[in-house]
Amino acid sequence: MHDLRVLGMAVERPELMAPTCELTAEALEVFTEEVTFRALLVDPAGGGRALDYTLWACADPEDTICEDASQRLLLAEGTTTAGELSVPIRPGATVLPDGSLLLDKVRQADPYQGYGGLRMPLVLHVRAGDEAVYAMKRMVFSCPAVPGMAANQQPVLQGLTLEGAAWEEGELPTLRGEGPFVVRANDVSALEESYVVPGLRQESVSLKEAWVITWHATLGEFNPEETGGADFNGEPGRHRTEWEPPEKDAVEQEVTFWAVVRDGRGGSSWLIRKARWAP
Amino acid sequence: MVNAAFIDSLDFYPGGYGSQYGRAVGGVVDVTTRKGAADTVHGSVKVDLLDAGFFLEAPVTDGISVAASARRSYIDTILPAVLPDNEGETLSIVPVYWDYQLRVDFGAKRGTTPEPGAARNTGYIMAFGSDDKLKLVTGGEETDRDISLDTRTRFHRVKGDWTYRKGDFTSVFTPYVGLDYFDIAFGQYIEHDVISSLGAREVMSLDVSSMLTLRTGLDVYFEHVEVNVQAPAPGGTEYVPFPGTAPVSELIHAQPVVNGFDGALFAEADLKFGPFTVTPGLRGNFQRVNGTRNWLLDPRLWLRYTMSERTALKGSLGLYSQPAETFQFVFSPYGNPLLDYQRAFQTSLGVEQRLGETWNVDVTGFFNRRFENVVSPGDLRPTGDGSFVQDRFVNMGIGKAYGVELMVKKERASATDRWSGWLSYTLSHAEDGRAGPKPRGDNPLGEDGPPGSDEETYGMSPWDQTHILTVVANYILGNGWEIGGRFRLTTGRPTTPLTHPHDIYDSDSNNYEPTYGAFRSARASSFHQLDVRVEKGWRFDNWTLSLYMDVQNLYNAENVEFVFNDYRYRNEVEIPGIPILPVLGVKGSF
Repeated sequence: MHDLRVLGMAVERPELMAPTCELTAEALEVFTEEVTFRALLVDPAGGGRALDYTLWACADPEDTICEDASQRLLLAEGTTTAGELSVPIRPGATVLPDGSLLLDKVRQADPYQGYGGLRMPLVLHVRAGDEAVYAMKRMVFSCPAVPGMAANQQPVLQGLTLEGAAWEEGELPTLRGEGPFVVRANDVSALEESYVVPGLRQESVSLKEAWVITWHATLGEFNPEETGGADFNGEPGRHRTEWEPPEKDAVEQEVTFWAVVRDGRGGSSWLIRKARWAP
Repeated sequence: MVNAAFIDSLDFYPGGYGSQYGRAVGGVVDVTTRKGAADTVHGSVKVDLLDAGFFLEAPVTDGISVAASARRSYIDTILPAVLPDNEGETLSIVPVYWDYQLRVDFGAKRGTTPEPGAARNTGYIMAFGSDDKLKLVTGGEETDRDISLDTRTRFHRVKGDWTYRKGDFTSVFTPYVGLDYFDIAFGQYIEHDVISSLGAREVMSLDVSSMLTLRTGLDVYFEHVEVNVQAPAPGGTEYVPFPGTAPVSELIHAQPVVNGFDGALFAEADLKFGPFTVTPGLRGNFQRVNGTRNWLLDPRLWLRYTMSERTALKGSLGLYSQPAETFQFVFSPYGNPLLDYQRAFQTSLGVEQRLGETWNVDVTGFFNRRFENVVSPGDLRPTGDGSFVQDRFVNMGIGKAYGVELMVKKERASATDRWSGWLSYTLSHAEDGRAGPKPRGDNPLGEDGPPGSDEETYGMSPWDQTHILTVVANYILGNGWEIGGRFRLTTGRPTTPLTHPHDIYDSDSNNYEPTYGAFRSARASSFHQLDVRVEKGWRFDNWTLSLYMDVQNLYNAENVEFVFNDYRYRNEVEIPGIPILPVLGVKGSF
């Protein structure tokens, strides 16, 4: 990976759950809380250049770049550098120029009218030189529509291993040769939450998170690039992958690795590790 | 699926077919199998790289003959030798396939000619079927996922045919029964389906006079579909999904049973006025699936003007209908119990010309308009209890097609005429889509891809091919040598191009979003391929032996088989299909 990329986006807290499904002052108080928006920006070939960014909230999930000016609001803009961008936002409190609450527009644009919760698109536009990328994530607002519902907790990885040894932040293990080098995430099965959502045919449906980790590096490639998750057949995968250095034309260097975890319901976080690799 | 030695004729009617044919809004294929030899024992054995099979035909007693064939692939015995064997990984692939055909004929006695006016009964019973299994297991601690897939598809059919002729009256009764099994076990997804079918067709024909022939009959079909499925509750049908990775869902278990009946009464008459033949026809259709009843009438008309012994003009117009598949009536959101007939208006105009003793030319122009076709998915709509449902199917499909077809056939004039063949060329234009924009919703069983939600879906048909050319030729070289070939040239199918004004990354699903240009405004590359077969035969006292080589894609054309996008949808990559593929085989016949 060499060019400007957004590898992950998260909102802390990942889900704002009102105490009631009526639009009361109590519910609005939760929905309008301040949250922290985070984005993992990488620009390996940028040499530390400045990245311009704009963060919008809009109503229509089909509008993947928040293009409709009548249904979007600017949450933040500025200049940053590669790494983690962190911005406090209050998108639930945003009001459109016509005086309507953006959240209400989100509900209207949702084909399910908010039945499965409201998902407000947050679109980050990052630019540097002649490179640009739009990145979208949905911020989740919900209420206890059926018994047993609880707000989502952020998924957090419990560490990684490299070739069977613990791989801590700040360490710089040395890897030699063509590999492949086995990377694993420590067992997270106990952290994967069981949860309940409103059903379309029955009152409710019971689900369990199947975290997905996506693996990235500034050199070589991971195989597979994504681990975990549940298949169509409902079987979760193992968080085991192999990092393969390039077969030729690479010199000894420090390599940065990213592991981004998603819980499949809006929660996300990431780990960053480094290693020195020599052919 | 059916041994080529069993095929007597294979006719494709692209449109404008008679009232006795139904359950189709497009073309129909009429396959007839041939009876077993009534004189002596014949047979053949065929072996090649992928499978082996035999064909045998013989008289049993006077008036009764039998023909049988079977085939089995043996790729399951070859695969284990070539699959990789890595420590910490398990990989097993076992595909098994076999099929069979058996036909018993009765009534046609050797050397007898029925007396004028006497009744004559002939007929046959045919059974055929196949069994196709695939088992794949992979996993182990040194992999990121365990996969276990076990599928099996089986079917059996028994078909009878009783033809009764007396004077100017002919009756053909064709009953049939069928049994289909489909099994799949893929992790926690387990499905076992059984389809039992029963049908019959009766066509009666009476030549009233030289000016009038009447045909009437019925065509009934019953299907009993049992589905037994256990599956993780899918998002979009059981709950509103969040984009991205799917969770581990609670298992749902369903055993829907659908009984579907489709029947038709039809009648038509050939009215001859000198060189003109007019054939008005009517087909009345009735469908009942569980509690849903549909019926409609399909009037049709054919005209034929025989200008000379060598030239004839022909034309047709009419309405055609096709019932939705029985399984599509399963409960919402996995089906739609309220589906109706799919419909089409078809018309054609053409000319047949015979040139010399061996050439036949047929040119036919056609236009058809399709409506109320089944498309997927339906609209997302609220239910009375505050929830939502999205039918998997809905009768909102529309389309039209027009064009002209040319068929030129060259037959062998005599035993010394060395070559035969045919040329088929179609120039056409086809449009397809649905009435109204593509609905929103997350039904995972609906169609994906462009256009996006809320956008119009009507445009070029994904099957539109402006030019379709096929040339088939066979030449007898002599001394047991024979060479044949087939050349195909077709226009690429419509595609929707990528535009990529910028990268759009969906962080929730870790996928990039495509940006498409105008719906189906581009085309895949044209397809062209030459296949050649060379055969050498040796004739012995009681049997013949032939050695053949089939070479597919002789000049190694790089035809595009698949088109992939890079992960950011910036570029498209074309993947060619099978390169030159020679297959050597041997066949013995007696």
